[in-house]
Amino acid sequence: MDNQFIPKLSMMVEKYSLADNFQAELESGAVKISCNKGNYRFFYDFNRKMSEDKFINLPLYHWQSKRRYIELRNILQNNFIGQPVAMRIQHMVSPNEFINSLKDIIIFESNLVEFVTNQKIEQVFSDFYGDTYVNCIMSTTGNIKISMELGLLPEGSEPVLLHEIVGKKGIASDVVVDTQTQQYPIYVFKGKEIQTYTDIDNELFGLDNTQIDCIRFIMWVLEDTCRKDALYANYIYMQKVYNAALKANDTVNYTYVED
Amino acid sequence: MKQVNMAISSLTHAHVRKYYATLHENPKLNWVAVSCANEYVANDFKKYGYDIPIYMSTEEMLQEHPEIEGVVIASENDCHYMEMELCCKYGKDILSMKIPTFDLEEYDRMIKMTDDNDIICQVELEMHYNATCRKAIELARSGEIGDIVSFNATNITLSPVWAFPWQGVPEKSYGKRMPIRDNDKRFRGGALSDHPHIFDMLRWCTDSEFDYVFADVADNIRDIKVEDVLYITGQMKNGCKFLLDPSWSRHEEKLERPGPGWEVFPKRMEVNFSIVGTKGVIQADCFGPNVYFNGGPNNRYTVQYTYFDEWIGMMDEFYNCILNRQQPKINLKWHRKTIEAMVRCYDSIAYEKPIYIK
Repeated sequence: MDNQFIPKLSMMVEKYSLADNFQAELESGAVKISCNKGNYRFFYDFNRKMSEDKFINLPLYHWQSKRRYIELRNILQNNFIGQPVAMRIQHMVSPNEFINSLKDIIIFESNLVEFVTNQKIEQVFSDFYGDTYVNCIMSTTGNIKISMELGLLPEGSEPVLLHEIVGKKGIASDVVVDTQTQQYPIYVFKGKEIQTYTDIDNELFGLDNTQIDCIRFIMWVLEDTCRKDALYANYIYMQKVYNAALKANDTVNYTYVED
Repeated sequence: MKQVNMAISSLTHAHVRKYYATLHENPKLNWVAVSCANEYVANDFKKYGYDIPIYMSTEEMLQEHPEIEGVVIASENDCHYMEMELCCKYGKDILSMKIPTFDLEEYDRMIKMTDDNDIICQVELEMHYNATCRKAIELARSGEIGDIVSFNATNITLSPVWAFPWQGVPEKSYGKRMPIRDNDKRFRGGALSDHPHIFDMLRWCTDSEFDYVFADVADNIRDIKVEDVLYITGQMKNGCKFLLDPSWSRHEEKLERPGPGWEVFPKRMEVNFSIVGTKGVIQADCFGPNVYFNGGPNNRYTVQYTYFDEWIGMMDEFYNCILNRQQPKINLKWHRKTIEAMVRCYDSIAYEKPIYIK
């Protein structure tokens, strides 16, 4: 998080009257907030054990606030592509503040599957290459089959990201047809150098997009703090999905997520 | 330049239109005759306007034209063995469709039969002659991205079952009626049976053979008897991982004759790779970029493909092999391990567990 994060978060909480006496601070892999609605630690480093203190620990599922994923979910909810039967995911990125390990990516994508499809992951098959790469096939309670290619790329690599849902009536995807790489809203061509910009949120203009998603996710929780229980329960379940992936890799078996 | 005399049999395979064009245009090939599986196919062939003799029996064609040197066996999968027998009987070299047979005992008899009769038998795996595919695999094999960690590929298409109904008939596409798994009304013989290429590319890229495969099949997106969406993962014997998508996951209009307006999704077919190495990733789209239009019969935004020259290289190799009496790179023996891996994927779906391959 950069030094704009806390001021912007505080500004948005005040603007939308989401809490009184709001205070926020950063700690490694987490954002701590205190307000009249409680004390919360939103963590996004899924490898660290968070402190057990007066702060309620909640996962910071920032991807749930990303417009492209919300719209994929809307496409399914509005039945635009019919009943979903399969989903194909690629998520290979350089390590960064939000993605440091395969566990981070597995939790990200497993939770995103549940968020978009509104179904729970039930069964996992996985094959790891050390701590940098894994292939998975998963199955949901509604029998949607998921394929995942997840990995950490060398520093500076372009991200490889794809979410494609196969429905009985059509396809939904966050990658343009006949392309392989991410598209950006702005390109600047200057000799050999190609500069890209990613500005898409005018209200939080200037902030990195994932940080914007973090702010909007925290705002969503503060809108109705009853959401915290389901959120925490889901994180416990995501740990089980991850453990099922580890077990599947060890046993080479299609492994049920223990619930 | 010596010409090689060619014929095409049956004309029921989905790729047969490619052979019409290639035999018509390649000056090294002299297109002598065709045999048709039935009157419907014969009438359809006549509409193309080629001035080529038509026979209603492959054997009659071979008897009438002893000058034929090579035959493209463009028939349904369950007819391949019988047609190979005929070619061996009459001493004709063979270009086999991509699935010679899924019956591995029958496959071994095909190998013996062609060996015993000194017949050249090339299997049409045209992706070997796709320049993007070739370059991507050359890059990966050269160490450009370090050691190869995982080879991931899609071979995603619309389903040909409405234009080529045999591909939805388990007995014809898989060779027999085998349930996809217990308590499932579907049978083997669908999308997986249509897409051997990525298995073959994987072997080529990694220079290794299959250690195990694990596959799972989704609910169908079409009301057909065979599977249409599935995913496969596993490992090669050298430790390289893989993840394959050989689905018919692109929707189509139910046209009886492929043509404009067939696709519903703008891009009707893709073969894409993401080859993951210890030092980076190669992303490759073997059929892109292209040109785009809207309009057409259904006024849809559509990808118009621009590169389709795989059949030229493939037929050039077949021509050279016939002339020089060499077995092609993609011969029956090489291809057997690909076919076996595909059969084991079906087994994995049936038994819901990974299947190891000796």
